[in-house]
Amino acid sequence: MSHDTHHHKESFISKYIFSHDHKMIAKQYLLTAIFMGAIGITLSALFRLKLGWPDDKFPILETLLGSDAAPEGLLNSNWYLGLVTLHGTIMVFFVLTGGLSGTFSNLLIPLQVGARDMASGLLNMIAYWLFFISSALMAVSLFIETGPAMAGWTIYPPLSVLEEFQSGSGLGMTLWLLSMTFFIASSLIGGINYIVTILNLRTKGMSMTKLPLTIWAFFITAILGVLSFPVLLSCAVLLLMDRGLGTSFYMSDIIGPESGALDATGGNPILYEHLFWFLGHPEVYIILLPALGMTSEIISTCSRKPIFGYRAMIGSMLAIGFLSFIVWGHHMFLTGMNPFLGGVFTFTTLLIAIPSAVKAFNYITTIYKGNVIMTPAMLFCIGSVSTFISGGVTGIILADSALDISQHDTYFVVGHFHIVMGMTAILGMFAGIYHWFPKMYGKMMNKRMGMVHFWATIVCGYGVFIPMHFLGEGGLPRRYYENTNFPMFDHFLDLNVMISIFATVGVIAQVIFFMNFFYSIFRGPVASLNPWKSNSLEWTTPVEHVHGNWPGEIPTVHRWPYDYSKPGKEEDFVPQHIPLTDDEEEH
Amino acid sequence: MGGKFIIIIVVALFFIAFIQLMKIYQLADKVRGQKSQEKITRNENMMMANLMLVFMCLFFGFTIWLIFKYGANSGLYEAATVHGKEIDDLLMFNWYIILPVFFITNFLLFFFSWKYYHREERKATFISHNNKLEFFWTVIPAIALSFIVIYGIKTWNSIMYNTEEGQVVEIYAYQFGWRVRYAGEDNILGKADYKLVSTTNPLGVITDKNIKATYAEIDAEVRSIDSILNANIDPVTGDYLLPKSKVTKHKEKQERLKRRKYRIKSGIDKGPLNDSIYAAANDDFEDDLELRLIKDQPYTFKIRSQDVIHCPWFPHFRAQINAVPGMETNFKLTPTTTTAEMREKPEVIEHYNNLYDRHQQRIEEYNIVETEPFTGLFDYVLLCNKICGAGHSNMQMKVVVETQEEYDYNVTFKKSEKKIIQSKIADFESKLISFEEGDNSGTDSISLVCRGEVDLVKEELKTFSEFQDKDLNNLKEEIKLSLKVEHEIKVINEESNSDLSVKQNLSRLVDNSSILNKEEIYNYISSTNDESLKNEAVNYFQEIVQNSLNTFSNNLNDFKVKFELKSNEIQNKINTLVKQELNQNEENRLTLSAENTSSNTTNDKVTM
Repeated sequence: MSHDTHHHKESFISKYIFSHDHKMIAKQYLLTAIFMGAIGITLSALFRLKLGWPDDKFPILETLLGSDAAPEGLLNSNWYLGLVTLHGTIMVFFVLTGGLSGTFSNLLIPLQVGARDMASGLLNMIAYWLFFISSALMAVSLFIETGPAMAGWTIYPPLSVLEEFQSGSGLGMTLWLLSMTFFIASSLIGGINYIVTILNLRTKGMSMTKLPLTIWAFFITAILGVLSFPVLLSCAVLLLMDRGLGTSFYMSDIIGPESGALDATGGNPILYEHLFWFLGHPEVYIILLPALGMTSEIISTCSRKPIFGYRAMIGSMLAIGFLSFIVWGHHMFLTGMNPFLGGVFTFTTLLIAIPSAVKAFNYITTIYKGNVIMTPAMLFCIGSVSTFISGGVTGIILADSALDISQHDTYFVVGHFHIVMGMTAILGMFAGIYHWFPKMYGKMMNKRMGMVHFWATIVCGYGVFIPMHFLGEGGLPRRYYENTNFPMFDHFLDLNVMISIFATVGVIAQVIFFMNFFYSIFRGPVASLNPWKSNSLEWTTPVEHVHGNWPGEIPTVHRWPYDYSKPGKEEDFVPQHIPLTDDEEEH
Repeated sequence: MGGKFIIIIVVALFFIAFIQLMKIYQLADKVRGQKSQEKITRNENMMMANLMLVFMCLFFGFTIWLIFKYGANSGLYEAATVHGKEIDDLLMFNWYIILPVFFITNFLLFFFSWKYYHREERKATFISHNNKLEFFWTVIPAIALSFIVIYGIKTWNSIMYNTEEGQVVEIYAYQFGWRVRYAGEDNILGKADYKLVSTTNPLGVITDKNIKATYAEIDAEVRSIDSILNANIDPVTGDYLLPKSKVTKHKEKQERLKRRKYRIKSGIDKGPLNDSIYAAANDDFEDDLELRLIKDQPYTFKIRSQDVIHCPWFPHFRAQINAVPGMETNFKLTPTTTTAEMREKPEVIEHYNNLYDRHQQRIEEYNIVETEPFTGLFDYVLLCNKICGAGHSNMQMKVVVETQEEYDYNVTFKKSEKKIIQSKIADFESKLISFEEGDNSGTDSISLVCRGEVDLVKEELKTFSEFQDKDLNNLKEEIKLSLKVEHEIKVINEESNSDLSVKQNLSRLVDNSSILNKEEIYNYISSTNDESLKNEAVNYFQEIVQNSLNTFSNNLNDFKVKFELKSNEIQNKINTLVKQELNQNEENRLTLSAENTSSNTTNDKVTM
């Protein structure tokens, strides 16, 4: 490529909007994700109002959602489900898949493997704009009269097929499916690009075993995405056909409240569940692995100590990635599938606990005898490991098919996956933002506000989700518009108020982050070249972004990225491009 | 408007203040030294490290508080089924492994973060890996997990591969409620087909009668769509006044109904069902109010859904499985504790008293008018645990577990009463059908009028019989209580001593005697020792018992008489109607077209 030879002047549009530059695209992903994230968490705060204070009227709901959704400030039960559905969809797909992978894969893959840009800048741009269209469609679905999709983020048919079952299954569901189709296309294009870049564009000396763990995580994530998203696409296409073309892949023997007995016979909704969860479970790791990869990198850097068991970390990620494809049935123990399969999926699911345990212990050992600098990023990483442990252990209960009989679809599940997947990934994402902000914008974020933001987030996060386990153990089903129809749950009234208070405070606390983030972009102090004294290659690039990343030659890599506090070295870090001295052992 | 404006101003000021503060903060930083945002000071490191410990203590404290306050299965108590107890044991086994891991690993994480926080003079120890250690913590979780897996799968198999064929009960889910069907004496459910589902046959059970009734209902519906469409034709242009989409919808529905009609018709043409499979439906009986189960009786639930995926969830039984349209799922369980036994447990009483107080507090605070006030008594419930639409959070059915004797009284007795009513209705209907079959010209309107009449009567009978059921239940309760009191008094009679104020108190209570007070009296008597008083009380209660029994049998007789009268009245009504209609037919044979429009309007009324 001829990056160095001619620097033509770029127009505003080609630089900031339809940019091919991976760093700009990363920033675009991040801003879109932050915007969607703001919507997603606000929705959760809104429906928590209803759950915490079921009999009170909140005029703010009518102001924000309109009089169809919340007449006189009382949330309508269809819209409640709509908020829940969109909260789930936005957080899972737009923030933690598109936002997390999109931002950091784009930013870090070329910088950390030593490439001038992604393998295909054009495809990269297309992937972002598909993601943007998809985000826009999803956000727009909140503004239509019949409401957004309301069948839960898993949109099980037949509920999602006929509008007469639920108002959101009309136009809202069409928009949802359309948006997801764009999203899947975006993920696939992006994923292929990441894989090709990692495999082909590594700089001289950057063998696979010298890659930072972030890159390994993005690599495995991209493979998972490329293998599983097509299945979701086929699943969505079949659903679209059932909705519009009169096929009956997922429908059989159904009586609609208005249209009476339908003609559809021979289909089966369980087929949908199989197809959906074949994506759905790898999706959990698509969300989790990037966060865990970044956490590994940051914990090592900020502990001034090599990551413990580098190869074991790669091995466990590979194992998790592989196993994630053969565990989807644990979402379906109670659908009436063959009980033998239940046993098999229990076994494979519990196997995942082993590599996960290895990872958790390795993090802790990395901190052990380290010299831990409490940067905001490091705080978020410690939080992330804590939630990974706390949420992971309750997964053992849900993985057990026999226990699932008493826990399935209760608040226990909600508590579990929000801690292990939601919080771990979002804390990991915050860690990534605080850590790589200087690389993205060349400015520093305010550390004190970062610290306050961390403590507020983790306290509120645990305050919301730990109590939910107890609601679930008490048999309270999830996705209930109000729990007051059953007096047997009235002893949870006060606990629900507490959860709602934590949730509201937690959501408001994110304002600290938004202000810090946007203020620092424009007015933050200028960052130095390597503010965290990190080893990996991205910190050798200039603070001001240049096209092609390195103004001169791309540095050659001589060592792994975790030579922190190496004995016999004066500094407590040795960047990857520094050659090994003659008497030095690799590690 | 003014309020909103002020809010906007406040927010704007807030942001301006924030930006100014940040500027000042950064200037101060500049004075202190350039890169302060990149460097975490010693004080900050120490503070964050200490906060780690503080947070850990709060976090653990909070979790432990929740464990003690709520614990596992909060408010659900010991499982009320055989397999539920296995699940509870497995759950506790898992918790005993999980909780130590949770506390220890979290502790290590926060403790190390605190202990090894950054100080300039320290240097981290270079440890890149340790194969022994890593092997150790791969194998230990593997061993622990293998116990969990083996125990878990064993429990799962024992629940799912339970070969015991229990009493069959069908649970049928729909948006938004439940229906149950008991398999009756032969313990076989009659076959069902979703195409036969209609208002008279909500479960779609295949019987000759249901087929004919559904056929008639579909027929009426097809006609009603016609009349709706016809009523909305512009007389001038001949176009529909309805929006086009609505017209297509109506027409599509009509097409579908017609297809269904012809399919059913072809079944009818084959003649009456003679396969024994269909005979199994004859002793089935349905209920849409409550599910009654017998203690220690194994059950096989067969679960179907009418529209979307639902999930019957019995929290106290630790039982759930999805209800999937188009397929049947199964769950087997054996209840072990009756509702009454649960209500007697001291911890349940205490918990439900608290629940009741909290419930009342909410009711009073918000002036809520309840359709069914909470009694403060324990009840088993069935609820929906799979998102199914707007009414998802209120899909409930009361579940009662009782002894065989109570069940016989409650279900079998009711059933025999219901049978009388049902046979009467069937009588009318068979007459109607034979009438329809016998006469082909101009009889549709007659049959429709008659059918409307029968529907009305059915409604009436239903409320009538429900009313009777309630009365009978009250009586039964009263008798039970009286008998209990009587028995207790006899026991107490054997002891003797004197007490002065007892007599006065008792007379006050007796004067004020209502069903509620009897319990109080009974309690009071149990605590006294006056013999004459006891004798008096015994007499008093014997009298009550006698009275109750009398009212009971009187009411029963009354009911039968009323029923006879009512059914005769209906029969007469129908006869006169049929006659009238026939006469009219004869008279108006020439003005047939006028007749047709009138029949269309009646048609509408009936189907409304």
